[in-house]
Amino acid sequence: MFKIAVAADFSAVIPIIIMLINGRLKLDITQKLICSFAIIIFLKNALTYIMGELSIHNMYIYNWCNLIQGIILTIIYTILFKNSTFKLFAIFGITVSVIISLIDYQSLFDVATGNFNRFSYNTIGCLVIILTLLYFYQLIQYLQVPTLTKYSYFWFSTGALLYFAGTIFSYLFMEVTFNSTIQMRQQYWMIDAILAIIFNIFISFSIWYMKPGKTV
Amino acid sequence: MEYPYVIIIGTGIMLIMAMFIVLFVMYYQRKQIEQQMRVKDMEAEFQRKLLEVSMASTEAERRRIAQDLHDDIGALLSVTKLTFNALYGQLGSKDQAERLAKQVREALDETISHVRRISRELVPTTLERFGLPAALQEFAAKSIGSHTVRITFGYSGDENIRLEPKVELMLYRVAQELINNALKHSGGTNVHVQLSLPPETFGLVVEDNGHGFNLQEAHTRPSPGLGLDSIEGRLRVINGKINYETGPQKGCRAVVELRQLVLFEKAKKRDVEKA
Repeated sequence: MFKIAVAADFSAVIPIIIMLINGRLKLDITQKLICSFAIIIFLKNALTYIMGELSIHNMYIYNWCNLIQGIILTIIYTILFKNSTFKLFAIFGITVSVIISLIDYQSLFDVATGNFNRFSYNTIGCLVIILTLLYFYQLIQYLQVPTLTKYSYFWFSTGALLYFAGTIFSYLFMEVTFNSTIQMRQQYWMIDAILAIIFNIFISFSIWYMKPGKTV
Repeated sequence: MEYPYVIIIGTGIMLIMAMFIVLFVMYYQRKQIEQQMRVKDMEAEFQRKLLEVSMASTEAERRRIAQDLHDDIGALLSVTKLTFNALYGQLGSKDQAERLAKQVREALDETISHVRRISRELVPTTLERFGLPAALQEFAAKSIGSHTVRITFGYSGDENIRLEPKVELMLYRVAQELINNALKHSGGTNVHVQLSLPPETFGLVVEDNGHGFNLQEAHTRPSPGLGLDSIEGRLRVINGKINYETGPQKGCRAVVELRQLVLFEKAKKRDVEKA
């Protein structure tokens, strides 16, 4: 189990390597946001790994990062959406998510907290699933991408959908999974780790295909 | 059911649903794009057919006018000339009448030759009878007469191989347009027309040593332009394509190619001559 968790932490390096290989590409704002998203995951993993090794409380970092990632994802999809109703929904969704996550403010502001933020994982998870589905709807509605498998945002959205869909049940029953006994937490942490590896690989593909987009 | 099972089953179902959605999006999008492409192809084919019909009707109209000019007006003029010659014999030796009669006869001769020229230009009879090399050679030779530009013509391959009449006519019109463009707009001193005939390959090259042009600019130029759209339209009908190698002060080299070559007949020169 520990090996998978470490592999998940280190899988965040793959998008960074791809980013360095792609290096001099001129990126637009959404592509830059995807890169920032990958960098935040990498920094979070590195920081929490080091803090874990030094036996320092790092749970609040997970909670903050989840919130920040949710905000970045919402900004990405708000830019990508062409429909103004979808844009408004995304903005409304993230505002509600942030407000709800502040209900459990201790998990964010108490550095010694040992709990995941019960609310932000659920609301942001649901929000991201809906946003990716709306984006897929937009892709098949406008048909502007000739080959989806060479389209950066498709890979990113697929990764996000698989990760958040796969982890939503673990987070919905957080009291049973992550905020309960160590044994139980480790069991569900493994699911999260495997999905995190998959998500990082998909982000890597997304960064790899960040070229001036072809449309038909 | 206990919580752990609910969570594991729920996670599994959610993952399967997510994967199903992704696969559905990929499949549906591909199908839609394919359908869109098919519709575009059908539209292009329809446009091509429309263009073909329009050009065929233009050619038919030209043929009718040429026929009328040759058979009706030409014949009438010839009869008028003969009648006039007979009348001229009856005039006697009055100087004034003789001078006027001479003028009328010259005007009649000139009109007859004009009618013949227009008739020949409307329908290239040389093309129909002797094929593309002979027709282009004749056109190049005629074009020299009215311009100071030097026009040379060369060909390789079997001159007896005939293409489909429709293809030959379109290629002839394209060559006419290209040569006229070179003469009118290039500002060069030499124009060379090179024809490569089957069996090896087919290619038509028209090049000049003029000041060239900006291809993008020429395409967007308002009418009357260089007729590039008309050339491309004609070539679309016969499944051909044209490439321009040009640029400011670089002359122009237009290369016409056919994607699919349909041979009409391989007539021996002597058979044509006998006919």
